[in-house]
Amino acid sequence: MNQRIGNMLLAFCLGIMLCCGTFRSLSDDLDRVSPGQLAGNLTSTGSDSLNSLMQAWSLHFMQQHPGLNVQIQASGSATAAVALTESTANLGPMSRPMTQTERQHFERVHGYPPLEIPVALESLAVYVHHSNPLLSIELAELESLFSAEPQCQPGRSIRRWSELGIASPLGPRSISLFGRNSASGTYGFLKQQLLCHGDFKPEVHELPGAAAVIQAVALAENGIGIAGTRHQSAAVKTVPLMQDQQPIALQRTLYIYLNAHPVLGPGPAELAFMQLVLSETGQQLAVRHGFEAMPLDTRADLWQRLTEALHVD
Amino acid sequence: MWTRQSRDCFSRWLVTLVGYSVLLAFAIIFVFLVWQVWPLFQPASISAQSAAESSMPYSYQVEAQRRQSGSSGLLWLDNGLDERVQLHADGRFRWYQRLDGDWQLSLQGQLALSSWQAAVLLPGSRTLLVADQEALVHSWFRLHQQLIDRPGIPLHQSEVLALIPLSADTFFSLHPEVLHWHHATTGKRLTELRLSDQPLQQLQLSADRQRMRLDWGAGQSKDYQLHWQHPAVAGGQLWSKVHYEGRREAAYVWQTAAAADDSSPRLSLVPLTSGTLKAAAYAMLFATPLAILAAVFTAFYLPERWRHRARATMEMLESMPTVILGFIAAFLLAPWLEQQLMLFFVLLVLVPAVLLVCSGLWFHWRQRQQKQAEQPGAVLVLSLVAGILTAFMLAPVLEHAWFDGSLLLWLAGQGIDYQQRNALIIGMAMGLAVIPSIFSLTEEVVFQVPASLTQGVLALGASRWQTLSSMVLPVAAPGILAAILLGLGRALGETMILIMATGNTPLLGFDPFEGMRTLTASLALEMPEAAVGSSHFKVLLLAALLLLVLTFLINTLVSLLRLRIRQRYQQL
Repeated sequence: MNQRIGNMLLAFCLGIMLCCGTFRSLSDDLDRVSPGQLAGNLTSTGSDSLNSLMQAWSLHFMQQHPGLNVQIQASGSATAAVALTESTANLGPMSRPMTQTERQHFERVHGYPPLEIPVALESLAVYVHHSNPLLSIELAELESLFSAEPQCQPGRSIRRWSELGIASPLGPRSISLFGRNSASGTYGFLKQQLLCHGDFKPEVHELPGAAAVIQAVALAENGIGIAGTRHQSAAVKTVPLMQDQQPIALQRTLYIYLNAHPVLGPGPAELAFMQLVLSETGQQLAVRHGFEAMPLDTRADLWQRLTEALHVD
Repeated sequence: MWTRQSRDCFSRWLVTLVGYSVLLAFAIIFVFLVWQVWPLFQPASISAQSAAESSMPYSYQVEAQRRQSGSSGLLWLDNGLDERVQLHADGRFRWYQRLDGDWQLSLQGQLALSSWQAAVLLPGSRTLLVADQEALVHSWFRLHQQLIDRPGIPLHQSEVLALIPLSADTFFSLHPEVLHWHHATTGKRLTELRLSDQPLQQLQLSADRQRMRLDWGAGQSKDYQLHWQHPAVAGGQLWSKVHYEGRREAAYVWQTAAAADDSSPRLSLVPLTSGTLKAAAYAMLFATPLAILAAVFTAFYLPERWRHRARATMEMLESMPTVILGFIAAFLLAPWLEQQLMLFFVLLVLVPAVLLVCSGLWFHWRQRQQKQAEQPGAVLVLSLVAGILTAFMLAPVLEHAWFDGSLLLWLAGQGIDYQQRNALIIGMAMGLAVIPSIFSLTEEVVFQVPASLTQGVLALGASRWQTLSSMVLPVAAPGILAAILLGLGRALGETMILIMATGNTPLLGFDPFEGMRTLTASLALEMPEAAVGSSHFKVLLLAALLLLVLTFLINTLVSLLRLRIRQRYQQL
């Protein structure tokens, strides 16, 4: 009996070691830090949603490479495409994929497409004032709230809380809608996924940051807003989003875009930064900041693609 | 060597040079804006080009299209993505939609016409265009299980050989001897191309729709370059109502979509202009009476020492960063006002009323005692405090008695939506920012009314109030007008308060309980997202140009009025 258990343990250990063996080369490659002679400046321009995470990554990165200085500007995803195209930034964090037009602009200037690297996942949540009795909201209702004319599903526009089944005193009041400004990835993502390319109502308040959305909802009893899940606060509460009585998540991928020559690959500093971002340490930082980590095999694939670009010459 | 003369000469030249270069810089900014904005108003054009070797991927056989759309039955139309329409010669149609890889019938019926010449489904959109026999292109789009009718697009010739899609919102209509280029959303004709009278066989388009080849058969063909950077704006989107796909009616819409490729940006400047005017109007409504009364009081009633202190305070207020005002308005004033809306209105009515009544009673009492009525400073302060206290006590009582305990709910019941960030907040916050500029100029003008005049009028036995109202104010009127205009210019150009406190909602109208989106806020928020050279970018520059011209005109007017009042004072 004892021997059998011992054998099983041995087999288990062997199995784990085997698994580790196959992954070791990949994760080792990602986690191996070369405190090289990198020096200079890295400039990042883009998403506001990714700002806190970029700060964390760059702090960590600057500890690894004391010679390097990372500057971060966060004023909306659309700025990343412009800055990369105009070569005023090395890294372009974006909370939505680049559009065809932006890619074309980039290609017209540089002659090759930008390099797209998914770096983390983020869920969006619906926030209401903490005193709001709303328990859950249907996706179709959310569309009817924010859309000028619902496109995904037929329905009429919702203007008052009573239409969502809320009793007095809140019921008769109109709903104040809070969202992000049109430069943000959240805006574009919602426009595509929630509104099916329809138009937002003109009444939707466009605020310049996710924190501003939370703050505005916290101060407005009749408010409802959409922002990333990581912005929790006591003055607001999140409302579960449902579709046909099943909870669903509005999840989006966050990217960093690079200006990488197809033959020469990205510069050494950019490459080192992406190594940190895709490594276990970088992804743990992402989780700590309220994002979700990318799956390991995706990251390994990405890293391989990044380094392959280097070895082509 | 370095004599006084040469030094004088050198410095004179330096000063002149700097002065001129500043003027030149302004001129250059203006010219740059005009130069950038100019292409917006040039409609699309077609120019001949020497034949390029490459073949073009999109080819339309004119004869084949004609035969298809003739009497022979049905025509399949495809938007190249997820919509298909089967159209019969008598106007019956079946509309298919691709859902999860399968084509499903979503809609069928009869179009409102019995025969037609040509039809097309615009690529990547849900818009069906059908040319009837009377030189009109009907336009429909599918919205769920419904066909929404859009205004028709008039053609200039009744015989249509083919409708050829170019993009999600432009198309060619091919007639014998002429090719017209239309914008489908606005219905405007962009340009035309005269053709020879030989029948055209084939029309080819390049993948990027920048080049076109016309083929008359027998090896006779010609290449063209298509220029169309800003067809939507050239179609008149900026200042008129447009019926966009997916909406039930025409509207003025400002909605730029940097992230969503497929929808064309909606660039109507009407909501932004209306927002700018609304914000300025509410700010002036709040600021003008306060600033002018305060300035007249300071200049005419206050002793010299106090006058200086008041001026200094106002100048300090003027240098206050507007971002602080915006912050206070958005995060303190707006929530407070929502909670205490009744109190606000009661204060607004009660405080001036109590002040008036108290000072009236004071004078009455002094006159009965046959004493001279002095400046009732203490009385004013006391009545102000009394007014505020009464308002605080009265507001809940009144709210309970008149509005069932909540003014907000009562307003909602009347169909009035109260938004937390609204024009009242902007009126107060931006009013505070504008008050110092109106105050300084008004105070200066009133104070500079020649002392000989005031002394003379007083010596003739007029009271101070009579002197003020019948002599000082009429003389200083142009200066006060200049001060108001100066404030208006400031209000039109203000940005930070508006970004922070308005909610940036591009709404039309002058509703005091709704927010607005102004030209300046849009510029600041959207300039970084706009792709350089795109229609969006150029429309933003147009907005900047509009603001520049507007403030330039207002400031010129202010300068002229100031000049006039200076001359008037010198003559007196």
